[in-house]
Amino acid sequence: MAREFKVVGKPIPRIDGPVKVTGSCEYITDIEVEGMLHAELLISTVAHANIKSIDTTKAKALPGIRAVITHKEVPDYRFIGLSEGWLGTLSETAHPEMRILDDKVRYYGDLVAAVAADNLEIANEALKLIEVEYEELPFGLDADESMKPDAPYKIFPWGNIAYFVELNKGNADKGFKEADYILENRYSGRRVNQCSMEPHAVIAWWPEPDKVTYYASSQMIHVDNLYLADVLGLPRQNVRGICKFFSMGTGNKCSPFWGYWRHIPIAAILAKKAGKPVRLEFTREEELAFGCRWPIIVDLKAGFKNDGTITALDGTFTADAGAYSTSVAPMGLNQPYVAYHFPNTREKQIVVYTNQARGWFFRGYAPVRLMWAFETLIDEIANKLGMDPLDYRLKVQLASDENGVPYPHRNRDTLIQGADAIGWKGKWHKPGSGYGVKRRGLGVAMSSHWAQGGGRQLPDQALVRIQNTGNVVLITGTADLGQGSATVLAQICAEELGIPMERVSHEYGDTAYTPFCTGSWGSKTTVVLGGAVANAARDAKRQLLEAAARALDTAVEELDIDWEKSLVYIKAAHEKSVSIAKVVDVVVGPSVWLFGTMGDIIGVGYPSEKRAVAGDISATFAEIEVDTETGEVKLLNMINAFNAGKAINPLLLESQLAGGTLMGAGMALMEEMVYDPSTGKLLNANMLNYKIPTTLDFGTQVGMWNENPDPAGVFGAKGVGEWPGVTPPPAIGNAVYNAIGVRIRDLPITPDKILKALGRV
Amino acid sequence: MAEGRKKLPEKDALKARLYANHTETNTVLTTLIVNGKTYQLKVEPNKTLADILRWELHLTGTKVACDRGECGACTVLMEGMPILSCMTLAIACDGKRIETIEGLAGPSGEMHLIQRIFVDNDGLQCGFCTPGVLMTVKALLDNNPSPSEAEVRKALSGNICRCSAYPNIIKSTLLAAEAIKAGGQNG
Repeated sequence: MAREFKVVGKPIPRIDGPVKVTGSCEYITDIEVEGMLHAELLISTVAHANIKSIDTTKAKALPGIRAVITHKEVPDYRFIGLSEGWLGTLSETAHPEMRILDDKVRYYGDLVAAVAADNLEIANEALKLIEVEYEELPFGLDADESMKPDAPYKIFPWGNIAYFVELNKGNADKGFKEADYILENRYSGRRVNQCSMEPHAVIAWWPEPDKVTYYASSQMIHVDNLYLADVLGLPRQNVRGICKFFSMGTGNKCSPFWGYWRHIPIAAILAKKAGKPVRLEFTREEELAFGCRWPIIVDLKAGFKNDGTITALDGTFTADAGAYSTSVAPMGLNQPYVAYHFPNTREKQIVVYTNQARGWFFRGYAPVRLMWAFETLIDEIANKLGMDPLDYRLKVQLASDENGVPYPHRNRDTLIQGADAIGWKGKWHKPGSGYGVKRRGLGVAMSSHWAQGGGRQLPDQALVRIQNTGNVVLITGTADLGQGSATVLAQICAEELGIPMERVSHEYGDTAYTPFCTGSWGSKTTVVLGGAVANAARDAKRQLLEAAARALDTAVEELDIDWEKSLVYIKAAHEKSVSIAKVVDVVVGPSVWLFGTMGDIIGVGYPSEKRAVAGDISATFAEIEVDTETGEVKLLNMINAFNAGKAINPLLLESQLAGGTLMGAGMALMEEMVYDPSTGKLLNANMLNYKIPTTLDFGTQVGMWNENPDPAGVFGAKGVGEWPGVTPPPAIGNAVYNAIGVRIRDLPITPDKILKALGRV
Repeated sequence: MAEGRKKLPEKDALKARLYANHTETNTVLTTLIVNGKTYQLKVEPNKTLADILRWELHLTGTKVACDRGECGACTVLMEGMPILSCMTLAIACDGKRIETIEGLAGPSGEMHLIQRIFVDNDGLQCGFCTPGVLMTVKALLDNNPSPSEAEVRKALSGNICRCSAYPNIIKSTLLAAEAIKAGGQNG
């Protein structure tokens, strides 16, 4: 595929850069709608209770209060648990779980009521006047406890287990018998929070009695519309959502689908009652308390031989869903993010409720939790056998899927280059073999990866308008959350048409004017929507050329486009040409009744047929230093070696790698949501005590990649948004082991754990 | 002459303004000089500078992410030094020179060199922390035109970026320092 690209593959600065660095674009929290009221949420201060009564009389009477709602004033709509529709097969076991506002609360911070007022001070005063009588119930914060048949608390009528399945492949018992060694451990990690810089926010109003419009900080506003229409009982076309500039949802601003975006219907219902627009913004405390990534609870038992062959694997994968299981997709060994073959496996996948924050998507979703376990296990096996963990991985790493079909795109070169870049061969030493107070270590972790939804599995669409002036407007429903989709999609359009980037303007953000898009998540945009964009551009170009051919009485193959001069010409005879304006006339019909040429050619694009090929592998290498007196882990160097497809924009790709690496580092070393066991309250719901990385928390960081073009991805692209965040935590964990020779299997790896592992406390 | 407690002139002036005669209750006449423009405002004493900048003056470039002084997103410059506008009462800024992100570009809207370099080197991703970052960078480079990388990291350690665009933020800052020293113009 040695094609010379003109726009694709260039490090073009993001097109929304200028408005962002000048502060001239409005994020959702910057927008003011005339006459808007300010809303606040009343949250539960108990972890598990029935609401026996709730009296809003005094709150409603407060001057300046315009609307108050409780469970009595919202539709009885219930969101289905698990990821209803995710993987299809779960819908039989999924239950209706979550109401917009309920007469029961299931975690400290669950929603009880909402008010809309002239200003926030009045709103907050009103919250104090709402009288709630709770019938407190026993509660639990521990997944293992929740699972027990005699657990002293029952979160839902059907119990505390949302999902359970046992899967077997081959003969695990036989495999364990054949093993020379068996390792059995739990791999765990705390709840962590996405902590977007801009909190969730919405402004909703009713321009007509049965039409609602809203701004929302959202990754999938088109899908939000569907669910809001459902909840409010409106036809879909009566709902309009707008989100252009917003601060990264990294999964947490995904949709109602997964039932955790109740603030949008709440704002809409308040707006209907008050007869005015209503603005609702989460406080930072709410932002941290309302959701999280599910904690990691993976029990693995592995049997393996002296030569490193893994003979059997037994795994229990527990998803502690928190108070609601909406958005959990159980995952285990049947998910191919792992790069190795396990021939004989037995596994249990369990989704269980506890009275804590429930999960939202978070960059890397389940693979992040899974790979912490697997890549630590693989490292333990290598070290048990006295093998270099990198050599071991390359030895057992999958070259073909379980049907023996080779993965054509597994490129080891990138991994070797990453290893060279960190100086693996020179620096890797036997674990714990250093001396002195500060001990250095190297670690590696590998993962298989691909993007969601290529192959017409997600209905993203695009429109391309070729204007009579020869300028081009691309229209998509994309959400640019900071990954740069606004730019990348415009590049794809420009390349497909053969025009410079400057001639394309990209309109996105308002569902009234943009075609449907399932949103930005699952590393899918470049592959799925990008494919639709390419198709739309091709369609527009085809119409242009066919019409020009008719106008010039020739065949399409004879023609070329001079965008500069805005004309289409015969290659063999340049002087025979027709202006693009004239061609538009041919396509659309001339404007007989109005002087001048008007109108556009409109190209329509649906997603590509081909699914981007699965199964490439990438790796993170970490070099760290442990201070054995303080327990602190210092990141010296992180190399994220990624097998990318065609890099549509190398500048933005590099940013994705950096972002994922450091987010992963945060999860590895410092992030955890800490709960009070006696009340279930989140204790560190602020950015001082919920620690995320700063400029002082890392050394050098390099993202490197090889382009391993995927024949099915647009221009050979592969999705890259999430995978850089999957392998850093186990790479760091493995580096810590290498440094001090003691294994820590519980994230985050904080100084107290290091000191305990070293026997110092 | 009484030694002992000195009267703090600022505190007195503030007190005077608090009790001054106004037609509305509960507001204080406050002069803010923002990006070179002088505003005479009647400000409630409990409003932060961020509140006033964003909701009174409609300068929404300054962002509020935590409202507790923990993340740096609300950073603006007061008399050339970075402050957290979400933790600064507006009335305490009476007569002070405030610079926000909207004032960084030139009068004809041309981007400052710092802004251009950040765009060209992708020193941002979602951009929400960016105004706070850029104001911090401006103050840093105004006071220390040749910062080391360690000094850049230290200066920016109070600006949290969840996208974790830090490597390019640091790189852009160092490039901006070089460019400004090399005689680059403002815009």
